[in-house]
Amino acid sequence: MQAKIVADLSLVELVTGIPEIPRVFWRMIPTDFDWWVEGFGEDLIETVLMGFGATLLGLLFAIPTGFLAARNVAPARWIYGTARLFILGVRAMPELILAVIFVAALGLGPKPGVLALAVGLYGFATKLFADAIEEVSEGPRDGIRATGASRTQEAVSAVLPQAMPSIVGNSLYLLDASIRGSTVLGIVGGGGIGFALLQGAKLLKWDLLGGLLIIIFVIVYGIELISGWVRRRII
Amino acid sequence: MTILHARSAPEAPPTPPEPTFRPDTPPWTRERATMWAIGLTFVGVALYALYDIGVNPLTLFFERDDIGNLLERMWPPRIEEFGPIWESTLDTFFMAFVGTFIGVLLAVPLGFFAASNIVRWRLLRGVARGIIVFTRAIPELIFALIFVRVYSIGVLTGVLALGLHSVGMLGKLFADSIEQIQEGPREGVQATGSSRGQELTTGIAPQLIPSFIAITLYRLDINFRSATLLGLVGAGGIGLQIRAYQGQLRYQELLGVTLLIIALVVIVELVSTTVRGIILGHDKTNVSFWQKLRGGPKAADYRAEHVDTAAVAAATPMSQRRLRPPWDKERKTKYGVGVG
Repeated sequence: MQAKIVADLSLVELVTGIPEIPRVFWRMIPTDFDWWVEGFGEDLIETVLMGFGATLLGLLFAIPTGFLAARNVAPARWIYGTARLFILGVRAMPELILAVIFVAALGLGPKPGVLALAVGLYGFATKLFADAIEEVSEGPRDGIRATGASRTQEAVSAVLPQAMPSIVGNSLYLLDASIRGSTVLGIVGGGGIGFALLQGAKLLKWDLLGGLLIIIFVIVYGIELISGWVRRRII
Repeated sequence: MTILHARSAPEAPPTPPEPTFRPDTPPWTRERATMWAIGLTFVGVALYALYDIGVNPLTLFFERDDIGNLLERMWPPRIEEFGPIWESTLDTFFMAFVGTFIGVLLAVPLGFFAASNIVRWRLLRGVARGIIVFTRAIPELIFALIFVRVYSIGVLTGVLALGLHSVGMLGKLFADSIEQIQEGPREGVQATGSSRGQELTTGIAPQLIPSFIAITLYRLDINFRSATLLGLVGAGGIGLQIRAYQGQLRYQELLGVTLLIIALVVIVELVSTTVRGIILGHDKTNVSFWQKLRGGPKAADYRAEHVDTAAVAAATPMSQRRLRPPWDKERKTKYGVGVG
């Protein structure tokens, strides 16, 4: 019943609102550089750095737990089950809500932003890595095991090299996602360019918003092109 | 005898071939050097970033006092005001559904325009690809930030933001799956002298429907996840509650709502993964959930499933054959989900 009322209200608004959209975007095209403020350069660099830092932090923890969450490598059945459940829980935690919580605990700035982003990436990365590890072939593992290797030696010298191309490919994909995610963290006080975007929208500075969005687009697309090229070479 | 004897005359044992030097790593080609350079640059930049921002892998441990304090204030999680929270949960679902719907409406034509085997005109393809890349690059939260100023706080903003951002991913995946269709059915339809529209609806569309539905479901899952957040910038849904509790420092309620969101996201993901599995045929449709948990279908089920459909069809006289596939469980599921 409630849902129906919501739907009725919105459909009318939606239809009447659609012609507004092109006008908004038209106003967002910047014609000059008057909107540029000194601090934006630093904010943009901080955004990119946050993306890089969070990726490394997430990967650092994701690679060991990826082994625990892979069915064919995990030391015991219950460890595999626990690890998978744990990842599912971590992945369900939205990054921005984590950022809200970390900002409440540690104060404003890029530090809580990076931590929140890293936790989000960690969940995602562990799942991708575990899936990649589950696809390795058994031959090299048998070979290494026949030499009397320990479990760790087997994992390092037989499993890791096979999974490496897909781990690197996925990491590049995570870097893209991370930089895209770090652009909005500032909205909840997590550092980066997001705060400037929020202020721009609050003060209705459309050209500022448009200009920053174009710069963000160029950065994100540039990194996507580079990582796409590297990924094609590896896989 | 003599010959045999002569043959077994003592002979020098075969000397082992000279050991050749084989490096156990691949040679340093230019490509490999580039890869390493890119990898090291990534690690270098990331290390500098962590140093610059002041975060290290043990930060969470060092800051345990602050985080512990906060958790103390958050515990135990509480949900009061069931009415508003129930309403905003419904809003969140609604935003995700309608946003995905709008995204699909826009993305289907864009996907066709962007597919190289449908549109020969390069300029049109380039424009379509451009729109797809652009909408994908801008996060839905920023779309929401913009639309909030135009449509004020509410669900509509969220619907539009989700819809526009979804176009990017949906359009790309649609275009990819259109480019992968088999040419056979299409040529068959062409050979009957059909128009281009008929070719599209009978030769191309039927091949695409399962993958389109699966992609849409996947996006619905993602959109639900984002819809929980859009309220943070005022776009309606459960995120509005989060913002209110954050502003009023009501941390127990904040944790309560966060846990609720996590539970909802997990449920939506499980449902969408299962349905997607059914549609794409990875799962056997007539295997119950419990059978899957127990590990595979029973042998009798397996035999029942592998009735030779081709033989049955061939035995049916031509006049009694059906043009449409039977309404089996799989097809019912597909259409049920589509209508839903």
